[in-house]
Amino acid sequence: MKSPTSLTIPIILFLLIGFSGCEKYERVTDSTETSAYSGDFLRKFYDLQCQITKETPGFFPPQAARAFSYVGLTGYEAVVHGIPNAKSLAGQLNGLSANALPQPEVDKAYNWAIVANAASAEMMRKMFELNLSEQNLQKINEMEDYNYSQLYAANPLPVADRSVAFGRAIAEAIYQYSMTDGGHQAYLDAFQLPYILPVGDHCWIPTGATVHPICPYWGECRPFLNQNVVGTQPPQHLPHSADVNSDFYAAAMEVYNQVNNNSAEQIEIARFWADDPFQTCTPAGHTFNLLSQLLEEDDATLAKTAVGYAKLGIAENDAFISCWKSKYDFVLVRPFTYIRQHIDPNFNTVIGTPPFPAYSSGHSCEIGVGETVFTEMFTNGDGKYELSDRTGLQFGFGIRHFSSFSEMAEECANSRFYGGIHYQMDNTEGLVTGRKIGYIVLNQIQWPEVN
Amino acid sequence: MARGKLRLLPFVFIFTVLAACENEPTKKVTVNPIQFMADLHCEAVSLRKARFELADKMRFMEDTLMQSSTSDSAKALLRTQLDNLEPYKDSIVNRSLELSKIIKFTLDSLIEQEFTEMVQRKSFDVELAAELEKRGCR
Repeated sequence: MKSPTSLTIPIILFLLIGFSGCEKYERVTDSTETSAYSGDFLRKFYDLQCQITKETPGFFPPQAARAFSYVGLTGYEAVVHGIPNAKSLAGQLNGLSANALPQPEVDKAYNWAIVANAASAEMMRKMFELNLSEQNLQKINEMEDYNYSQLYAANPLPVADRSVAFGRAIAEAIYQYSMTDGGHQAYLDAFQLPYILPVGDHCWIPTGATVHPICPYWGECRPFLNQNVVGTQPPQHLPHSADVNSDFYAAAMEVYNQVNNNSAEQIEIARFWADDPFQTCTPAGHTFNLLSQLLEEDDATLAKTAVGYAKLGIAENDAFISCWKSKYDFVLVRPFTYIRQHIDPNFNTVIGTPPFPAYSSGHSCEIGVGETVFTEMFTNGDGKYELSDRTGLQFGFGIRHFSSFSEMAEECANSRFYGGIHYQMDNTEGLVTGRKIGYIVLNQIQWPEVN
Repeated sequence: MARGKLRLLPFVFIFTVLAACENEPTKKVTVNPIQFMADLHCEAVSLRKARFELADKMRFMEDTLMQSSTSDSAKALLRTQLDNLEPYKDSIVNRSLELSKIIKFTLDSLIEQEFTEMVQRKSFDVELAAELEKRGCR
């Protein structure tokens, strides 16, 4: 039998090794940088969000853009501490104070991919919340679990647990912030009644079975950057007139002539960008799908992926607020109504006219921000990019090819003219607004360099 | 669950083709991705046309309903017809959504695993467009 003394040294050695192991465990402070992870799993969340947007009642374009934007913001804040020299958006966005978001614990390691996974899943659940079906809730949970199983392997359990907790805390804090922006749970009340429509010759009236216009007070929502609304409002539109010699009559006649002389290609373009009856995840969703495609083509890291979705999200959210403000400030009648009243009582559009006023075009605003963000992220600034938009294949459309992002944006804007649902001034001014918002988002916020 | 099923679809398809050829075990059978995508896309084109046709029909009926010149009896008939279209609309939308998931998954798989280089993707785009043109799926 060994003496107690002979056992003492091995026991002490064992304990020392054990404790030193534990210390080393908890002292890891050099978390792997965000850019070391692939952004693939985050892109999959946006694919899923697109699908859920289609299947969840109440997600019209403004609501959908808002949901995409807060998930984007959450993804960025989940990984920002793993990007060298990156600055949180807290303190940079309207109403989000510098100390509003939880901070990672000092001297503790995090897996930023696990943080982003937990945060994005949680925020998606919160954005669709009351209207989220059981089936779609399960899909989010399954995606989160699957990603976690792929991501946690290399990490000690405390790091993984801490990362999940931090991700959920970020999502909760941003959700609290979202609740005060004026669009909280707006999917439950798309028509924001009571709303009294102004009356006048120039004023919008229903163009179909939907007698109330969508989201009349959306322009009062809090933007992420005030300048995106106050600094981007379009000028007064052409003065309304029924005079056949007026500029307004000419603008309506231009729509009428276009619809009656559309080529097969122009009809295809109108339908492609219309984002299809009963089918797509709204125009903003189309642009997010394009961003996902571009990130995949770029083999983007998690850092670039998160920054990309945040940039586009902030810009898209504010584009819809700015555009909706002008829509309800001007309440301009649609070409459909004007043409039937003054040019041809049997006029019909190529695609259905959406139930809200004309000026300016929502599609043009939102694709304008897409153009600006894509140009900054994927080109040297000239906007040239050989883009094959395959997002329509799943809906039975062909692949559309563009040699620059401006060509893409202009086609989208023009599609509303070919469709007969917008005057050209709606589209040109909408594009200007969108491009301005994109520029403000890229320049007024301090973004990290991730290219 | 549905996602899991969708993941298996291309493999199920390939397995089916292989199983059909089990009497010739030495013959290697490969599924041409262009042909496979074209098969899916042609169905999607038919559904797209049906969706637009239905959407147009419904909005023109709604338009007639809104006109003051339409008689009450005609309006009542139109409302019934519109209601009767709802099940067809649900059916076509559901089928379209299911097919769009399959196409999206198949396309993503091809892009991420088969055609990883941009030059391959461009070639895929061209070949697919030519095949669709040949089949008249536009």
